[in-house]
Amino acid sequence: MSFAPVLYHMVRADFLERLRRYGFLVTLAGALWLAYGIAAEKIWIVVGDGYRGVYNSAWIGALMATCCSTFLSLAGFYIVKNCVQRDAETRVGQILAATPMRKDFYTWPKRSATSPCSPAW
Amino acid sequence: MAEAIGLCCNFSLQLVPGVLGLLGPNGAGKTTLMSILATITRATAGRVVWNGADLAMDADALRSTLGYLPQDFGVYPNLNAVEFLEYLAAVKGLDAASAKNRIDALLNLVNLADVRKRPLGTYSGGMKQRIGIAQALLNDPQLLIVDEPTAGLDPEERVRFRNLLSELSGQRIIILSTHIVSDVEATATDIALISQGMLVTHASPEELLRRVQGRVWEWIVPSAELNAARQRYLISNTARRSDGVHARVLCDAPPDHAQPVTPNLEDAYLYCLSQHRSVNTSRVEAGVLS
Repeated sequence: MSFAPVLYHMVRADFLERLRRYGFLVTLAGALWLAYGIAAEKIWIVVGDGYRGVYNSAWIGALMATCCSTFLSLAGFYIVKNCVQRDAETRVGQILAATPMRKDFYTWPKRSATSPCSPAW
Repeated sequence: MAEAIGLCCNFSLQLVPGVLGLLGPNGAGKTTLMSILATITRATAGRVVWNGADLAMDADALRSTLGYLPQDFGVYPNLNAVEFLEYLAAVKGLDAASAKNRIDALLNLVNLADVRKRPLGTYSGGMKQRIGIAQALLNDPQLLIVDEPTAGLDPEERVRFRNLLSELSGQRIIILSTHIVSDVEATATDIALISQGMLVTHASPEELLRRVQGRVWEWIVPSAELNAARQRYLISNTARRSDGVHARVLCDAPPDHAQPVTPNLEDAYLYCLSQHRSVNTSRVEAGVLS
């Protein structure tokens, strides 16, 4: 059994399954609304004692870095942590356990499947 | 091809191509046995051997040619049928081209081609069961293990599935675990009865029917006396008619006015189980079993 097709299909299945959940859509809609609000100057991000950033590349970059590190380290973790748990909960794991797939073939794509989701957060 | 299967619950089976109907009451150990045979659970003692390979040491010897439909399996609710089957085809080692052809054929076979693009979460229980059947057949398995496969199927689909099992059984071993005797009656070439984790008997359907020949009677009982009759005799079925309750009685010495009838597999199943229980009870009383 070659690894590449297994990797591709597992990442794809995991990504599509996650992408089509209501929770994902709600989070995405929330992110879009926040982005629109900031761009249209309906929402202001205030730092410290009334300071607002100027919309230049430095400020946007700093915001992105802050958001990514927050989401990926905390909220993002809770969103993507359950790759293996979901196979147990949906009981697909029983079927997978009876296939010739090796354990590392299983865990590697599960880890990789979280990567395509990351930019969305 | 001949495969010997030994189990920790003190019995052994040697399987040949055909459909083995594994019958037993709830809690008999059918699902545990299926799980051991499907290499998901490891037996604490004994050996499971496939074509000479001990599965405790080399489970992959079986897994590449195994199709398994668990009793209580699930799907990814947000994938559609094609995506789900493509995923499982990949983990079973099928290449993309043959997987595509196989998935198309199987979706037609299980009558789900029209809903192939619908999310699996919107499928009914019977439709999910059919997806389970399709995934079990993806790799054209030499050993197909199906655990309660007709649960949730409507009568038409049940008949369709039985016919499918019969068609598939030519050159492969199919183990059909169920407590629905009519499913086994329709498809099985061999039957193994298990109870309390032990093999009660392993025989052909014809042999089982011979064992109960001359021991099945139809007896018309007034409704008010039915409970008393149940205390005295093993009754496999009852039907209320205008002249009373027509009871199928399993016994060596028939009640008065009882008429002999042709036994069916359900009679044989109940008779074998009751014999097994009475033998076990006698052994416990004699101190042979604890």
